[in-house]
Amino acid sequence: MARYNYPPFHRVIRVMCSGRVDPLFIFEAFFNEADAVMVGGCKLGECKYSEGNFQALIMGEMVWSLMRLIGLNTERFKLEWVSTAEPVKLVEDMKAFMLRVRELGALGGIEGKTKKDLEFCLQSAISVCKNIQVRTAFGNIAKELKKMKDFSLETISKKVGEKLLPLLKSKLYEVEIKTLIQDGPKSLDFLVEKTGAKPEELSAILNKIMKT
Amino acid sequence: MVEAGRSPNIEILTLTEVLEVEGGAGDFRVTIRKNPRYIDPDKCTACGECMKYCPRLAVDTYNANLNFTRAARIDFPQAVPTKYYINPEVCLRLNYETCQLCVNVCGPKAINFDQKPEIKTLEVGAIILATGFGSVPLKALEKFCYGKYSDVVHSIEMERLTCVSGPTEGEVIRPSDFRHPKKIAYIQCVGSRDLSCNQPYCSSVCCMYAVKQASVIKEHKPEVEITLFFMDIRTQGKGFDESFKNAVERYGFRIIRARPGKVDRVNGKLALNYVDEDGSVRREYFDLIVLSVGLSAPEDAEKLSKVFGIKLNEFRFAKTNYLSPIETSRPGIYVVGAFQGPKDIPESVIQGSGAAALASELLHEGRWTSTVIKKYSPEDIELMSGEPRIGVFVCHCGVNIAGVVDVKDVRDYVKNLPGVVLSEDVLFACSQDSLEQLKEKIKKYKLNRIVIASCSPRTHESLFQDTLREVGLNLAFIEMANIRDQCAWVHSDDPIKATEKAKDLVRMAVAKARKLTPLELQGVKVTPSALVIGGGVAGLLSAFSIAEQGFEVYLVEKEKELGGNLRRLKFLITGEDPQLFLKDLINKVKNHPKIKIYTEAVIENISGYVGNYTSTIRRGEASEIINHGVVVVATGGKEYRPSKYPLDGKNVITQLELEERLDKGAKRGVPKKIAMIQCAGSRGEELKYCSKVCCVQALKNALKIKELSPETEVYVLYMDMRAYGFYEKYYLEARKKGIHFIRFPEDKRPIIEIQNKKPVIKFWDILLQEELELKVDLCVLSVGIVAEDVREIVNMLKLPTTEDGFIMEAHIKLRPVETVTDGVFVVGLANGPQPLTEVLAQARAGAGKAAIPLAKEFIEVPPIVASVDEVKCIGCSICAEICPFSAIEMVKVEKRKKAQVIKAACKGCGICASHCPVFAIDVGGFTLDAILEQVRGFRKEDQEIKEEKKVSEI
Repeated sequence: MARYNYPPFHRVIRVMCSGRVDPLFIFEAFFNEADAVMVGGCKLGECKYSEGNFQALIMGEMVWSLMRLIGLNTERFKLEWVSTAEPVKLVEDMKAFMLRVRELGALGGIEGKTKKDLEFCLQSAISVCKNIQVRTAFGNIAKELKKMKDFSLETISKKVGEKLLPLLKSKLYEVEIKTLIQDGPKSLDFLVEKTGAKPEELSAILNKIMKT
Repeated sequence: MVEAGRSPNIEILTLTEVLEVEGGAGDFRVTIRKNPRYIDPDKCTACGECMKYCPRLAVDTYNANLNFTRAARIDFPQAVPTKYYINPEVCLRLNYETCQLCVNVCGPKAINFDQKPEIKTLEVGAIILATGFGSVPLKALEKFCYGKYSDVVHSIEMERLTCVSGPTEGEVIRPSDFRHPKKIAYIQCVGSRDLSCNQPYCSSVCCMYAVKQASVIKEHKPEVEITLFFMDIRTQGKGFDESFKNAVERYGFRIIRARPGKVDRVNGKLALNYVDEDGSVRREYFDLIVLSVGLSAPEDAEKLSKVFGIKLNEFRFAKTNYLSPIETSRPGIYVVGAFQGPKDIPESVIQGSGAAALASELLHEGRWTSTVIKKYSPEDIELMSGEPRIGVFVCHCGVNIAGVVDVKDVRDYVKNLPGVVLSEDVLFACSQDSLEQLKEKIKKYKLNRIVIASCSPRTHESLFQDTLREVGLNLAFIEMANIRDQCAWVHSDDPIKATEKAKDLVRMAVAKARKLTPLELQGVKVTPSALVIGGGVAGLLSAFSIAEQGFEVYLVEKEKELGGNLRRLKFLITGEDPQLFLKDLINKVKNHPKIKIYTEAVIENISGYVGNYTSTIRRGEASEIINHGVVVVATGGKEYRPSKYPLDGKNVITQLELEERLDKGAKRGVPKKIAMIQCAGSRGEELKYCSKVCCVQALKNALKIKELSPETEVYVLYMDMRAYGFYEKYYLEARKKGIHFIRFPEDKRPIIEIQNKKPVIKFWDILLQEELELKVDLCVLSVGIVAEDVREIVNMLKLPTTEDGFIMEAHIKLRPVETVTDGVFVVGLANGPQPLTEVLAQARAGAGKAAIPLAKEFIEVPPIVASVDEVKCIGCSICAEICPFSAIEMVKVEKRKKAQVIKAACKGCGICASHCPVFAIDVGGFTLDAILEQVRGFRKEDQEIKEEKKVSEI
């Protein structure tokens, strides 16, 4: 029986299906000092639960979108589909991923974020992942694509871009601004710098926050 | 395989031969010889030390002799039982009384060279033969210089070469120089359709597997050029044509219709000579030639025949009747899979379920009389409800873990984690005495959460769960940290990092253990009756079989009469009388005390879930409400009438119409010149798919014509003659009788014109490369089969259909008669076009599967299911709509819409939980809290040296 060695830098969390993986889990993992996260599942089309891994594709797209928004390198998150009869592929995938992560280095480094910055943006991302509106939009895309029977990457990225991304943006900035102004008012320039958003994107959110 | 291995009611006797079978159906006495394994399976932990140290190399037959293994071995990691064995033919100890290395290195002392063959007698009611197929005669391979040139390999060898767990780890190399071949040729029908080596039949599966293998090769090495040499392309299974076409297009395979002759070797390359379809002789060079070998009867077929007292057919396969395809010549002995005839996986699985139904019919009176049902002590509520008291057991697994991971270090590290009351290391956590100790420790230290740091939950979780249940703990209160397969085994080169990883994994498992909540083991009561929709032959046989197995059946047919399409079949290619068979079956169904028949009836409504369906049956004005546990959908199909052809019922008719005319006999006279056109409207014309039955139907009718009127000239125009399996012999017979077969290419289909009231067929002759005309008296179209329009039923049962309208099976290979909705089965033409004999097997299979829930008073719901917190639920219905198993319904609770899980239908995947906007739905065993706690456990609390590390979620 062949046992293939691979680098010992990962820790495994078992779930029943890649479809169980909540976007929240990924950002919790980053928040808890993971430098990278990989989600593995059955080969596409061979899901034991019929379409869990297709749904995980949408989850992946959402995670990458949010990573981009908070300024994390998207290569730190990966989906990999491997059949149980392909140990070699799994090992190769893991090796390649770990090699790449080694190049990227510790989380925050290549992104130019201090420990505090990292904590701030990841905590914000976690809040966004728990947000009811964001989750409803995420669930609705899952619903729609299932109905369309179309889980192609083009359709997924189109739908996430159209229906989820604007919401992710506004909720993220809202959460971030709220955190930033907790201890007193801040200048727009400061907020723009911290959130990485455009001034016009922030003003609408600021207005909304003022009202409440 | 794993499931069968785990069932307490399946005793797996490996290395065992049947010596004698006495008695008869319902009461057999079977004498067996159990050959020694030399390794005690109860003690073996599959650690692999014996194989590692075994000095005796042996040829690895599992890997088609391409590799070496050891005398002490396991064939492949997922083997069942997952235990090693010693091959007595090569073992040094057994042959020369030397060595014994394995005895010394085996931690659990499982090796026992004193084992002797045991002769035993088993008392059984029924016997199912599933011996599989044998290899084709070497002669068939040697024709293509197999054995002479090492770069001629056969497809079984190729299968291992392309397999990532095979001898080359999936690397395709040619044997002569270990280089990557750039040009590969596949030669089909090796040892099939070959009279010269006495294998005249078609092996049915090779066309499809060849293109599969070729696709795998292309995926690994896109630059390889692959040419496949076919006689006919026989991809007649459900969805096969489409897959074949897609693969050819996607990978750019070259398809040549020719049977290559000579192979010779020139300058390190293999030369193939063949005659093209247009008659030209060609010669081409390849780096590697793959022979697509067929399926033969088992090598010891004659011995099987003698021992079991069953007859063989002319090709040495088990003899069965066209109308009872699973029954051997001896009552009570059934045959399934390739020993019955060459067939693919879905067909084999269908026959397997069909044989189970037959056995259950035969033995239903004795049901539950010798079944093993395990009893557990009641749960200790007081112990379970207290604060988490975690016991951690770190397993050495002999040297498997301890040889790499510092087990004692891990054990001590764990002691300080919050919630941990006890932390110990054990030599083998799964050994019987360790399990006894585990139970004692649970009682002594009042442990209510257990973490076992050892191997994979896949193989051992159920064992530990069982142990917990024996002392009154809920089965959910165990968490396994896999520090063997996912740590020690794969990081053997770095013990320090491996130990660190083991600590992390255990810490994360302990974190999750703190949040474990009990799982409920519940039973759903079952109404022991079935609704069968459709009174054609599939529905009739399913209903009959379910009733014979002892359950009530409601059989609903929309027409006035039972019998469906079979009423139109007048004779069979094998000679039996289908009308006699149908009449007999209808009588048996009508007179069966357990079957209630509703004709001219429709299903108005079906609601419920497995075990508990309620349906409304309407007959004219009257309607009746029935309760039933399962549904068998046998709604059938019908002849397709292609619009592109001038079908007029007179000079241009369908095969079924011809059959009716022939049945009325020669009295009216058989026309002198008849043409049959295959695939009329099928395979990409109007219907996309192949209907599987039409080629054989054409052969049947053509032979009948020749029987009635030998002087009549019959022309069959075809794309591929799909006379698969034993039907090939009728194709041969038809050719011998002078029936003309003319092939047309897919893009140049024949055109029918009516001139002077006679059909004239214009067709493209491939050999002459020109258009020819054929004036005939009668033109017969081989039209396809379409599914009946049963949209309403499909919607009520939430069944997905294929693009072509056939109901989709839960898994094309492994669950061919089940649907995605639990308790709903689909058989017959509603499932897909197929000949009568396959419909019969499938109808029995459906009945066999349907009887599983019916036979149990309660269905045990697997404990890992979703549940809804009604207070949190906002009734958005996202979960209900994305659930792949329709296991969530929206109900009104105090005027508000709430999601509710149908536990009996839930499979526990958790897609609902990851998509709930308010985290109101959660999955047992993998709750949000527990997973988050495990993720948080990834962070090292005590500021150990921070280093690169990752979480991987699998």
